[in-house]
Amino acid sequence: MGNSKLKNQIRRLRFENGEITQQQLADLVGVTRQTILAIEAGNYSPSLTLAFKIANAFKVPLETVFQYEKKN
Amino acid sequence: MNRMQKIAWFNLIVITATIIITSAAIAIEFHIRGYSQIGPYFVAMLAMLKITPLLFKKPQGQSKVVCDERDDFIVQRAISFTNTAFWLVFILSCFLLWLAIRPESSVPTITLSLMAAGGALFVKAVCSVAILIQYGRGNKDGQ
Repeated sequence: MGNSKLKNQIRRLRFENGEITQQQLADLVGVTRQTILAIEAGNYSPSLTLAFKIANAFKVPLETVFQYEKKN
Repeated sequence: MNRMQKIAWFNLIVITATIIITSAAIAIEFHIRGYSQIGPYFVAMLAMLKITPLLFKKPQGQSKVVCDERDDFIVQRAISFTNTAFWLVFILSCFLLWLAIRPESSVPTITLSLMAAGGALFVKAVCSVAILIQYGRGNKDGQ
């Protein structure tokens, strides 16, 4: 776990989807704005359920939003 | 600052204030009368810890989320850390007590009650600090 990182494209997707705010996305997926902020910053790995909810909110596949990156 | 952080701060403030005021009351009374009778009753201030649900009510009739999976994760991790810390401190204090009074001596029965009360305070305080630290660090989860 220590040598991997979950990258995400939430920030880019938010702007490509009508520049929705973190609060709007949070309301869409049923979490707090702080959680969206933590996920965007890479400080928190969401549960699989939340990850799918975020992907559904943007109407894209899960792997478009999150990418697993193994560090060397 | 979310509801969880407010409760943690409130708990810490009440515990710190209780310790300071009770210690001061005991010290002042002891200085004046040579013994302390009323001072320990200031511990009753800890009853304020039970009013947190009234002070920090969950908003009613709002669609806005107050607590989500990340908050649950932070609280669970804080509880897990607190339990570990409590057992270490509890076992250490038992051995220190044993070393301090020697095996052939005995302790007053009030010592057990005080250790239980002190342990409860320790758990509350450490859990609050652990919650605040995790929120402060942006919840780095070691991914």
